Amino acid sequence: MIYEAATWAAVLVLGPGALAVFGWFLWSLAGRPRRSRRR
Amino acid sequence: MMVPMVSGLAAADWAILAAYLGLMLWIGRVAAARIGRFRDYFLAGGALTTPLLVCSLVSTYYELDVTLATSERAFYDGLVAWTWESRPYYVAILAAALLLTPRLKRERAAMTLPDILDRHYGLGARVAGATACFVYSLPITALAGLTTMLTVLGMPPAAGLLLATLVCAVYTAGGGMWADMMTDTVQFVLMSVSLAVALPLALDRVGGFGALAALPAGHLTSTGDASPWLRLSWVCAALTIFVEPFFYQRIFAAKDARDVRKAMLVGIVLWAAYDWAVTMMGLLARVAVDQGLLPGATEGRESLVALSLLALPVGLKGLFVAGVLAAAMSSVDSYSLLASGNLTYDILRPLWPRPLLDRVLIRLTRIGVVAVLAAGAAVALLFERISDAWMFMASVLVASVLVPVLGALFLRPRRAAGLAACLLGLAGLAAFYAWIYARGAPDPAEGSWVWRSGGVEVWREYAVLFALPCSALGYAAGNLLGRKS
Repeated sequence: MIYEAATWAAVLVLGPGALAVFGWFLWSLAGRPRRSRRR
Repeated sequence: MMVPMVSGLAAADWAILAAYLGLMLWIGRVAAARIGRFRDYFLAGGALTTPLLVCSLVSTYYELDVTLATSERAFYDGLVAWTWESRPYYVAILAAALLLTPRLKRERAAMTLPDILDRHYGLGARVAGATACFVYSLPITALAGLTTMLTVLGMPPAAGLLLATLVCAVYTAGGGMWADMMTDTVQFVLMSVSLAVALPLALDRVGGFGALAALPAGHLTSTGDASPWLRLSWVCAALTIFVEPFFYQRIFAAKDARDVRKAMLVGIVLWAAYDWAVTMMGLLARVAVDQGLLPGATEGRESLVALSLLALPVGLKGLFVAGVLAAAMSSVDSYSLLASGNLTYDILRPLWPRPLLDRVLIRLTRIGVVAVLAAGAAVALLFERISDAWMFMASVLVASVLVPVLGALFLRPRRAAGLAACLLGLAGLAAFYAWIYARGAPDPAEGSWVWRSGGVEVWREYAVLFALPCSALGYAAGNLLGRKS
């Protein structure tokens, strides 16, 4: 049934999917090069 | 009539709520330390990356009021809430991502939509466009949605609204767009995850997908009972995407056009999933009412929260209420910053006799954020029925700036075309509203106004269908009669 498939897909996108986007955000913060104090 | 439900929040739920509000304040304090220039304050220094943009775009564009309206539509009318009221937005966002974003990133030094109007048409179009953007960006509907929810939850609406508004004012006025973006990421996670948890539990509570068979037949068809004209007016509402001030601000704040495009494409998947989940919750709430799990007097507007609180255990209830708060606050903070920027950066700065220093502009915008939030909270508390306000605000925006902005980005118009399109669009809109309220009659069943004659019906929701041709006419006349640039 198409409703079932769409609903479970939505749950996957909103649960693990949203957490993955948040992880991507944290990873992008951690991956940013630190500004050097020396010039 | 709303059914105030015993919210049944335990100490653990309240602790989650308090932790959420405390985290928002802490983020605002950290972000305030990064502010130097006005560009830092209003556009986060133009350094936004794709994941930040995804979180912010998705959470901000989902006002609580939109979420409640979608579940309400599903409760009363069925799947049409997704197929015709939500899906046109994904097409519009896709078109904006592919066509608009690269053009906008070429508008160097622009920070807002009125900047584009100014560059192509001059100061008059800038002020007219900024005024329309200000009307659209007032966070009235999001705050009204919050008031409704607090009432449904059995919490004191005035105290709850003031607390949420105060927290928003502190972190948004203090930290500007950095605070807005960082809080949006937390709010995005809360909104999405709380819904992802609530939906399977709600399904389980009503007896699984098989229970949907008990719904009225029209509920599970793609068009429901919506007339073609009503569906057309929903499609036209999606045109707001092309002049959505908050999209423009995010595009200008992005590192480059590819970041925005990627964020919008990922966002479409998340928006579609969120809309579908909210639509399903509306359908399941209707089933729960028929089964006697929810009171018979449950209204469509409260169906999402009522069903969630029925299905969720202690602890997760607090997470869900924090998610509802986050859905409201993520829009309230962004739009209050935008509305304040319209007043200070777009209107006051160019009209001020001397150049305004960045620190003065930042201070004025901070005051503006607090003033806009105070005014929005007062309107939300004073007026009970303002759910139609969004349609009016969106009509003002589309009628006045859609034609001139698209003309500026894709054609080479003469300067007079911009102001003429703005003013004639607004005049057309005012004439339509004056006519429908003078000649039409209220329709209590639909909560709207309608003019009927010989089988023809004109609804108040058709305002943009009338105003847009007026705006296009003004644009053509200005282009034909105006002086060459």
